[in-house]
Amino acid sequence: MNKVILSNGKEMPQMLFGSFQLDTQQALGEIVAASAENGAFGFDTSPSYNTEQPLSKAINDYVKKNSGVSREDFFITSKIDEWQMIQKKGDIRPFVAATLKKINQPYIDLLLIHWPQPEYFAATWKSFESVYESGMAKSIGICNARLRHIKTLENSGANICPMVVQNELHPFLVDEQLVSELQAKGIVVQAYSPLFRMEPMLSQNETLLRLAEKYNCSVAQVVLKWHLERKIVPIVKTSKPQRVKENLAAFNIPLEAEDVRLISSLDMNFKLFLESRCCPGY
Amino acid sequence: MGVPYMKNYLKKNLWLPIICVWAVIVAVGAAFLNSPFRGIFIAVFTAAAAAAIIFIFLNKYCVKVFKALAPTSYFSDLRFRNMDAIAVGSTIAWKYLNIDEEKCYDAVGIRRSNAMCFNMLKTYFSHVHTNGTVYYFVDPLESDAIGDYASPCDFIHIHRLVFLYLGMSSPMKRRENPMIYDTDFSLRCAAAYFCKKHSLLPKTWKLSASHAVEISEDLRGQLAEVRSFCEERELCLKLVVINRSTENNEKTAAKVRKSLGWKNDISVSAVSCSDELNSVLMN
Repeated sequence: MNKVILSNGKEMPQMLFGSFQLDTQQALGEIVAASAENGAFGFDTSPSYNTEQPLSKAINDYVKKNSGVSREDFFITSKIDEWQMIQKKGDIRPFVAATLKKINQPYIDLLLIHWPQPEYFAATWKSFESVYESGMAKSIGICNARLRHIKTLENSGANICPMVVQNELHPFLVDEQLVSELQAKGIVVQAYSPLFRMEPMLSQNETLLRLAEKYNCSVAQVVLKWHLERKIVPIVKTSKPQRVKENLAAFNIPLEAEDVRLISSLDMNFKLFLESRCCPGY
Repeated sequence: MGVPYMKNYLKKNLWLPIICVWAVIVAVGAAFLNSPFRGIFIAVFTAAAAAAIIFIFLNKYCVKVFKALAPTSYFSDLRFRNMDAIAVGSTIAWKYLNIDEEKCYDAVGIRRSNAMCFNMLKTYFSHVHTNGTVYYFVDPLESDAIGDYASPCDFIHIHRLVFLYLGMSSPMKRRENPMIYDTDFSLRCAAAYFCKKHSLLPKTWKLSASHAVEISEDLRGQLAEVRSFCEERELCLKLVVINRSTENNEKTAAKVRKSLGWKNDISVSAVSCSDELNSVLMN
């Protein structure tokens, strides 16, 4: 699996697997095993998905069963949810400590603010910095961030720039300007819902179908390769272990620059997740 | 355990005290079936049963009304993206605006505080594209009546996360049994909803010389926050003041603008009838 280097020198897999709605131990165990066997060790979770514990257990079980693999090979991303920010007025360190204890892990590879809740955003980032400095999280970042959120951090005297920003991105929400400005700041951009939940609007899109035919692959693979070409780390969610291999095969598609531009031209600023409905005042 | 625990338990399980009360009524009624007061008790029992049926019917209707007025659930569909505008406002705006749902996101609602109007804007502005328009309708008179900060009448609109901000518990029980928790307000909402649905509302609101538009200190502060909120998110704010005075609209708008200390970069207008109100959305 290719890796990207974060601004703090840590490595992150170039494709991660999401755990949203995969809340059974068996399902997660299968996905973790299928991913690891295909060389993919990056996973994404959150307290609100209810998958932190089962995902961690699945990883620990896999490490126990496979002597050649260690915890260090895996990359676990977790988040701090909005309610946690509100409840502790931004001082989320107790939640991180409790999570580590609960999931039986010494650290989280990447810890993200799930929603930049306006009132406690800057205070939470201060706590994130101390969590990072204490080693409980190896890297830190933000989800659903716009440039104004990065500016808020700068204006609040933050010492550490987010290493990762995780936003909704797909062919219908390209956010070219934001992505390039974040990348110019050395921030690695992750994409959630990279396949637009495979809604018919995407899976039956004529341009994408034509490209899939051209490269003799699936629409999902074309779109994933498009993300990779844009230096974006897609977070793919699947409940079918066989899809893991299919998604990873996207790395091998020789998508031409012209086709990357063609897919980008599908942009219509279409959001699946309306930010303000998830986080009022966002 | 103890009285608070029992109270809490009964509040959470309302069916239990209701069944108990009915059991007592039935038992007492049965005990008197052969007494000389039988007729009175049968009459009381029948009246109570009729009242209960009406109460249940009204409760159901209020639930329906609140479901229609309050925000729908998350991501129920993929409509309402990249809309040109959002309309936020309270009772007058709700009663008189005819919003074209293809162009403008409807976030007006019945009788709520300005704080709640602002919360509605905070919750729904993502439906609007960058540089989209925010029509913010303000009724200073209602603002005086309800208050600018969160009020009990906001409960039907409230977002669960907003509740968390306010340190309150779930509004679900209130929503499930509005007639028990908030009888007066629920009945008024249901009546207004019924009138709007059946076009029974008067064509315009009442104008009076005594209702001169005044922007309170609190409202001024909140509107300043609304303005900076919109600017930060690259939204174009258009403030529309509901004019209930006999003073003309231009004069009222100028007065409000002066009171807010806003220059001409923000649109401020005043409207005094339904047609004027709707023409704001059309422009």
